[in-house]
Amino acid sequence: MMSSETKVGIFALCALVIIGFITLKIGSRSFVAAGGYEVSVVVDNAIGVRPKTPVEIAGIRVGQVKEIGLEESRKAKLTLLLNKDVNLPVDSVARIRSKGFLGEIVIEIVPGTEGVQSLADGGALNFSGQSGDINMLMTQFSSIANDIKAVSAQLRDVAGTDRNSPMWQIVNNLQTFTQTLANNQANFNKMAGNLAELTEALKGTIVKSRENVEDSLKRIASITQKVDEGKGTIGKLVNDDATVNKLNEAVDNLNSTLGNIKTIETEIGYHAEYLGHTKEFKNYVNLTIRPKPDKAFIFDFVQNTNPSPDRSTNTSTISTGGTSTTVTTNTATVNQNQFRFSAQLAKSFYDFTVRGGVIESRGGVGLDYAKGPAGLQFSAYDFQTQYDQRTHLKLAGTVNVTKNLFLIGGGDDLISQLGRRNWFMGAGIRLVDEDVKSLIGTAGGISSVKR
Amino acid sequence: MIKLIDVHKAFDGQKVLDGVNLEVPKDKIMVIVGASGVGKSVLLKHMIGLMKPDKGKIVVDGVDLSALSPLELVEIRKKFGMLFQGCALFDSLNVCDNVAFPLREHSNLSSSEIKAKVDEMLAIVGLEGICHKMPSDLSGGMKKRVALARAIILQPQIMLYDEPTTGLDPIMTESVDNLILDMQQKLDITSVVISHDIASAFRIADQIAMIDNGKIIVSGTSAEFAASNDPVVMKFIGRK
Amino acid sequence: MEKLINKIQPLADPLGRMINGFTKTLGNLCLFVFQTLSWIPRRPYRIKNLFKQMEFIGVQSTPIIMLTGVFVGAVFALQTGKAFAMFNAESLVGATIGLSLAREIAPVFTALMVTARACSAMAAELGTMKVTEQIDALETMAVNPLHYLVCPRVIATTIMTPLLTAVFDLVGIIGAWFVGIKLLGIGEASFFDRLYFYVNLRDFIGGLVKSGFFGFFISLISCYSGFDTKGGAKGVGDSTTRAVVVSSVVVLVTDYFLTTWILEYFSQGPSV
Ligand SMILES: Nc1ncnc2c1ncn2[C@@H]1O[C@H](COP(=O)(O)OP(=O)(O)OP(=O)(O)O)[C@@H](O)[C@H]1O
Ligand SMILES: [Mg+2]
Repeated sequence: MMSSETKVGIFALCALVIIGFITLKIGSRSFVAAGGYEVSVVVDNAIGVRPKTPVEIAGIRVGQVKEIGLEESRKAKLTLLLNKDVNLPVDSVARIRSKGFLGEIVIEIVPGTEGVQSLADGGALNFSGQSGDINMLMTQFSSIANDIKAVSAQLRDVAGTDRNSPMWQIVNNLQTFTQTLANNQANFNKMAGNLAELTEALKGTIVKSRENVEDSLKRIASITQKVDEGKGTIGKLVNDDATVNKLNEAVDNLNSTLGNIKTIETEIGYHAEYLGHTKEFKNYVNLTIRPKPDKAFIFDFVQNTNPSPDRSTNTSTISTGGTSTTVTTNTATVNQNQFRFSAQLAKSFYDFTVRGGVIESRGGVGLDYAKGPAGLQFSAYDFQTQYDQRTHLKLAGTVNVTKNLFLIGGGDDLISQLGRRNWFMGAGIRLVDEDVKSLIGTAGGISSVKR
Repeated sequence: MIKLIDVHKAFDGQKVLDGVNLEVPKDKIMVIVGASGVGKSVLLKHMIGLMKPDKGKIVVDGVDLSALSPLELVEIRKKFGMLFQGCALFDSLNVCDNVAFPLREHSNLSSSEIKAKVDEMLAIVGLEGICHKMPSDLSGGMKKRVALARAIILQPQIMLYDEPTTGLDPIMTESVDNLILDMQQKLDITSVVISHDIASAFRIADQIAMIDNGKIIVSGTSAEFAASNDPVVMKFIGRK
Repeated sequence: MEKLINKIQPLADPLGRMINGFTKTLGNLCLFVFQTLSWIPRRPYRIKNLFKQMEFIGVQSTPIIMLTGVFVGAVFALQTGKAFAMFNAESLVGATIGLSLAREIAPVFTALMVTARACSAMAAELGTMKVTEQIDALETMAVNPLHYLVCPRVIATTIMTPLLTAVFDLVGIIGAWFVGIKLLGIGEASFFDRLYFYVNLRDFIGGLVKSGFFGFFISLISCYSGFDTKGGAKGVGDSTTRAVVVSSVVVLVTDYFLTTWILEYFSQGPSV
């Protein structure tokens, strides 16, 4: 028999444990471990923000809003409580973002430049504006519309009804020009004749050096094609135009509303391998799109001087004096300088990446391992066996020398039965988003800010 | 010792006490008799301050009860012991705890001393070995004796007994009478006893008072009472 | 004029008596409360009595509290889950249940359950003690009945009701968790994320403080009702009924005011 003191004691203990548990769970400081630090940010409009509103970096929760107050009677001042292991450069910015249909609000921090002195307890963040919600998008669109309106208004002003305005003058000039053209018909006929002669002459020259030209034309074509396919937005980025700027921004924001498309990382690369056995070069142009850090679409364009042969079987029937014989021939054709392509899906687990799809125009799979600057890549493709081929195996080791440069080396076609086994070594360059944008230069300032 | 001066009490217009004047002498046993429902228990409760008179005064040891604050009333009650007509045992406590209750509340005795004292008291009222029974498991007579043990355990200066012998067999009645006498003689206790049993009244009483119709009609020594010519008294004691 | 008075008389009389009775009862109750409070700090401290009452009120009420808690949470989850599904807001079920449990349901239900289980017993026990003169007997033994009987009960109920409320909160959430996540298939993460996000500590603590007040009120009312018992077994029955009815009504009525005062006081911050 327990005494009532004991029973009450046990009960009270349980109840206090429950109170403690619930308090910890819902307590305002529960998320941020002891030793978190506070930073403040002044915002124009704190609608929807309340204490405990999550603070995120790259979608990961790193803290929460501690309190909200009025700043200088016109703005809102948010005090954010951040985990102490979150290090923010002083030029980091914060913005208010809404997620989902219910308009859940989060404070998003975009860390500033790496290496800059980091923000101390009690420091202040800059505010980069509200974004992501439909209202803001609408405001932005309407401001674009206003710009367009202004431009067309200007045009109208320029044109005007005044016959002396520049627009009218242009029209007048054009009129005069066509008039002159019509008056000089004879001269033009002569010019056309000359042109015909010139092209004839050119044709002759071109035919002579045709081989060379064809080759270089092909290369140009392929490169432009790659650019076209791989970097569709580059075209836009190259175009330095205010409206496009704005549109890009709007698209960025729209992206962030719709999902995390803006976090897509694009990587373009080029590398060459010198095949030691056949003394030939193999060129790779690569485009990797990473919608999430652990997922990627990998596209390669491979110029291979010594690819696996294409094989075909021809069956022909030969009739000789009433008897017919069926002859089957197996042909293996090697088309040198042929372009191959790879398109693979890749998914990473810890340090491993599994990929698969098309490798050098054949079905294939691969497994990569990367640790620090060093990596190993293993690919197996071309599983066709009807002509006794062996699967094409390739093992390569890579070392990143800098962020953008890497060395590669390994063995190719390791179990080939035709003695096509090969070793190779090479080097390459790899450019990730930022690099690409800064290379392109004019596009540098466009949308990198909001990443 | 206890003096009631012109005490009036009515319940919802029903007059129960209508000018009672009574003096209980110190160190004596006073027996109060009267018909059933005449107000004896009410009178007793006035003496200890459980009921307040509508009019009149109750003076105990020279102190007017009605002038006392609740805390002072508590102090003066420590002089009293009272046996209720209905026993009023605490039914959440067993017999021993009931009897030990006043000791635990008002003495600094150790639990073993309390235990010894309780056993002694239960022996006096002839109830050994029922220590752990609950009041609800006792007969009416047993309850009365347990209540008696509880009332006298602190050996108070004034004892109020409301029908201590009602419901007891003749032998037990006699031993309870002896107990009351003993206590009074050995410890100089002032006792007020309400009784219907006229024989036992004569046996123990120094003074007898009769209440009827809200008033004390006769009050005096046993002899005076026996010689009274009041028709109610004569009828009560069976004297023609 | 006389005619008018004659007409009004039969109406005014009982009304006057009612008002008179009510004010008298209220006055007695206030006196009772005041005296009880004044007796609480006095020696001797009846720790044993207190623990006995805490066991009776707290420990022994736990099973019934847990049972009702689980089912209240479960039913609540079922209803809100169904309703919120209509506009795709199932993820808010956790928050809704958490908030209403912490702020209203747990304190009120716990107070009602304690009233039904413990306070009715209190009124009946004290009522019986009253009619069998046990309370008078206490007085004759120079023990103040308020000090001996009422104080431990009031303190025990005031302490135990918040603890039981905390238990109710927890098992209520468990019940809601089971129905919401296991049966209705609401995402566990969103269920708890929203719950932690929307339920503030002050809601929870405010609820506990509120239930402390409930405990104080219901125990005082029940003790008063017991002390006020007249007559025999019937009187005890009447006073028990009265204790339960008045306590329940007082819980529901004061809930409104306590919510305004306590929870609003607790939530003086800029948000809800
Ligand atoms: N608390 C009370 N409220 C209302 N009436 C009461 C109360 N106590 C006693 N009475 C009434 O007072 C009268 C006297 O009661 P009391 O108990 O004093 O009788 P008694 O003389 O002790 O009778 P008995 O010898 O049967 O015990 C009774 O008519 C009773 O109805
Ligand atoms: Mg009587």
